[in-house]
Amino acid sequence: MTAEVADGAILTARDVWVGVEVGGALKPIVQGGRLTVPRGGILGLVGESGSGKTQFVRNIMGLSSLEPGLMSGSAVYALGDQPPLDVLENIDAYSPFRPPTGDELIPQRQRIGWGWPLWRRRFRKRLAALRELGVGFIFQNPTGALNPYLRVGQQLGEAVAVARPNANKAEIREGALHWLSEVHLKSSDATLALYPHELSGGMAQRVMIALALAAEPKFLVADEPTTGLDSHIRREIVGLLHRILREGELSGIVISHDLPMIARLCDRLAVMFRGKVVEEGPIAALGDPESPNHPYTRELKERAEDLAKGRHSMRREAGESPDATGAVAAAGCVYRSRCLVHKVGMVDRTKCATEGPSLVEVADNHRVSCHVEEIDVLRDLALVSAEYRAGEIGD
Amino acid sequence: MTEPLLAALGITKTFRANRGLLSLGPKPQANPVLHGVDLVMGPGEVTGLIGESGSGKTTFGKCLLRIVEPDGGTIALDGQDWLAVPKNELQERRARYQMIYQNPYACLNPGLTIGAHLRETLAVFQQVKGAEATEAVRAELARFGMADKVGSYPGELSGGEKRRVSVARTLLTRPRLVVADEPTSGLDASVKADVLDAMLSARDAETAYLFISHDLDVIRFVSDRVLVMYRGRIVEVMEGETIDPSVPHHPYTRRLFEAARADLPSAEEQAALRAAQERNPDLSRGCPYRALCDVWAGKGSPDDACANELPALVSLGERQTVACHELSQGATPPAPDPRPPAFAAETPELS
Amino acid sequence: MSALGRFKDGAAADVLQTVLRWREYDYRLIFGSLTVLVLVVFRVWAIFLDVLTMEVYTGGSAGGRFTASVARVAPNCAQAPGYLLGTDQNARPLGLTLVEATEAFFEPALLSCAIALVLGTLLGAVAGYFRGGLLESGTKLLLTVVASYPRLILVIVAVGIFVASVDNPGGQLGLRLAMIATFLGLAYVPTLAFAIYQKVGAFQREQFVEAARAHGLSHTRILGYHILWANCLPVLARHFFYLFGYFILVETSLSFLGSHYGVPASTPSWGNLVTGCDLGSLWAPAFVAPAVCIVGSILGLTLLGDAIGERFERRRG
Repeated sequence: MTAEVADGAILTARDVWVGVEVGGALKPIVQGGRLTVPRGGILGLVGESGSGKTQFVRNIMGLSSLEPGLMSGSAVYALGDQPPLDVLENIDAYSPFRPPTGDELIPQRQRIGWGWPLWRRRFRKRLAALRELGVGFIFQNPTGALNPYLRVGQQLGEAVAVARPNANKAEIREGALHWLSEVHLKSSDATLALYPHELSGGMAQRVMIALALAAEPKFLVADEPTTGLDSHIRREIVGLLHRILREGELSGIVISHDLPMIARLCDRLAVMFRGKVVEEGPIAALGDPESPNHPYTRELKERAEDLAKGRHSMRREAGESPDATGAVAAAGCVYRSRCLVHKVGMVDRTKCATEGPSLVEVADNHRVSCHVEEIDVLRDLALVSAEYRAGEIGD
Repeated sequence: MTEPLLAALGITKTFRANRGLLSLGPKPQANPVLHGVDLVMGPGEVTGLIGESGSGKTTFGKCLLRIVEPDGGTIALDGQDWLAVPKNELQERRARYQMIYQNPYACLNPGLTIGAHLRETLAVFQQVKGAEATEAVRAELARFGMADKVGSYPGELSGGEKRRVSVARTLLTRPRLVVADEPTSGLDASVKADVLDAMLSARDAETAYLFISHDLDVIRFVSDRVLVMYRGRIVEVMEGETIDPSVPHHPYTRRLFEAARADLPSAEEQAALRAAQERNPDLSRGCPYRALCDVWAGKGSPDDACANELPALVSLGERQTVACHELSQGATPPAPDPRPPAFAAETPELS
Repeated sequence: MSALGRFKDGAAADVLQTVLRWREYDYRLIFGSLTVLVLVVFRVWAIFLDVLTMEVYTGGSAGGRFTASVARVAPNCAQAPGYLLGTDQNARPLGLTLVEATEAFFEPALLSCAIALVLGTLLGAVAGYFRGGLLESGTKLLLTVVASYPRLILVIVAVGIFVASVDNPGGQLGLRLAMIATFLGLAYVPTLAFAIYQKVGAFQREQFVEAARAHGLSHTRILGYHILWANCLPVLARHFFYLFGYFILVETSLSFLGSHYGVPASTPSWGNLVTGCDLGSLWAPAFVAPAVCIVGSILGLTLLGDAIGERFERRRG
């Protein structure tokens, strides 16, 4: 089974399913996830908490912390000088569940035979190959992700030694100080001597960025890099990341729920809603008011703008609670209870209720998963939304 | 002039680190957190207290309600001397002055359903029990859009939902003052507005809010007055139309307004931030904000007032007071750039 | 892998997968619940047997009453063929004796559990909640002192003193059992109190307690309802079952030691049966049956305690 590799992409993930077994049934987390990271470009993965974005990326990087439940798909890394490597190759042979085929809704159990305890070992061998190529990860909770028993200098030194295995102590120390100043921290021995619990949130996040960079990766993943930080530090970190990603010519993924940050930092966009990727396209699709976005992307954009302008009391529907989380395996489109297009009736409602939409290409390299027949409906969604808010249309 | 709901003057607090009887090593330092903070609020007002993590704002909120006892100052709530109330009476009076904690999980007992939490509040404070209480709980949760979650445990709810439950629990006591610590932090951007909306629409006209936050850009739209705190001191108070980036402000306030700009910091800004790390002014005298102040970076002479004298709060007009030597001398600080749009192109505004 | 790969699609792999899925079922809960069910059924049956003879038997000895009830229920036991388990050393059907033996431990175990739970919770909760003072240190000191005595020895010594100071040690069975129960309960208090102390201490430090105080709730309410009732019931349930099983162990051990310590020889008790049987063959039902009962009930109760504790913890998500 050869996996698909997109042109000029450093990472191509297709048809990724992730789930965990809870009490005999499978709880799906990612359903048919799809990602393309262009070489030299940054992909922004947007979604609310519970949409599965963190697990999606962790799985395709081989950092899954879940018990075996469901794992299938393909994630091909084409890092230039070596043949493309599919990290998830054959992983579904060892997974107790398989993704639904045909008319099935939920993942089914499958026979996996005697070899199933060995799935992790096989996985790890592939990851060792991946690690050679240099992948850096910036975790979400900075003080939690640093080793509390080692000083900052020791941890940074380890990372520097990964990139330069032959360096002596003085060179390692210099490298550590260099990376400290790169992330706007005081580059002195006093900073190197701090323990993680002595760092403030902003400092710990910067140390984590330095750690990820010190290993000189070619591919960087930042998971919610600014959540939980104070607002002015947030802007500084975003600027830092932007400079580092540009200067180092890194490819990468930035996961966030902060839409304006993604708009500034990334070249491509992927939007996830409750386990499914609903939109994938260039970042210009976010800024252009006429672009055919998925209604969910439009909703996120509007909420971000409302927040910035101070419009807090929005007409909230009696439908789903806005922060219902978690993937569901059900018939039809999972977004329809909040979908503006569905509410104003510009789409065939029976189709939305029975058939799950798949990603269709609406513009050049821009895919949206929606049942609308006319793309122009999505293009005009900004106007429709304004009218709906004003109460002129809709029920 | 109506009597103010809350008049807190000169609140100070220092955390002393205790050493055990047998421990060796240097004596741990005392940590002064609040240096004489004043706050006056009227009934039904919404006030914002803005500051970064570690500025002492949470401690101030707790001192106001005597969850932590302040070391100095006076607090008058509804005209009564709050600090003089004896401990055994304190608990009974707490119903009218409530606090919503920052960490949403931390407010709720993980072993009780949220219905049980709300029923308990009704039983203890409103003496409503039985079927009537169950109905009232269901109605209250329905107001927050969570009527189907009555039997859920806090562990099953998302962050935004947990926060709304603590808001519901607080408002059930019909309080006069609610101190909300970081009401929107840690939530997804799309949920922040919902939580604020829930808090403001569900209250009585008499309930006053004190929003403690680091996010000026979210709080400024809902507040009648905003106080800015830096390292345990109030550096600015703004009211009404002065809560706007186009008006001259204390350099720290300006920095907070700029934090919400959607564009990236320019190369010069980044270089300035990097250089600021290397500066090491002596913070025991003079204005404590010198370390990061961009106005001071331009001057930097040791004879200046900024280096020697702590600035006092001076009023800059009817609705604004600032503690800055530069501004109180009438100097005009650099005007902030106009806010660039959130995304690359602006969406069309409809009339 | 190729040799194993051949089995990938076979029925054997299916069976293996199904078997490994059975780890979802909590065997401890099943076994423990069965044990409790059996004990309760036995106890009810024993009460029924006693009720049968209430109007005819006027003597004071429990053993005598049992013999009279057996005579009513199974008059020809010594001669009747086919009794599953044969007879015990007093020529009574072994099965009925095993059932009647529950009288020796069931209610006293409940008494000792009650004492331990009430006192242990009180001491542990108070020490864990009001920390940093004489109350905490004093309670911990007291509990440590009591815990430093081995529990069984404490009970034996207490019973021994009782025996030495009373005229008719053979009689007054009820009082003796009550004494054993009380002393065992007291001896178990430190274990329970420390468990509660840990739990309450951990919860007291959580922020929701501070939030509840800020909300205006009293210490009594927070400790009683929020901490103990909402969060500590699993601990109490676990220790209830542990102690019940432990009491069975103590009672059977004391009865094994002889009439002075536990129940008299004529009164049915599992420990008695083990002592009194004729060890002609180790597989004699008179030896195996009570032994199985003792081990089975203690094991079942302990496992049930574990399982219930875990199940309640997991529920909170």
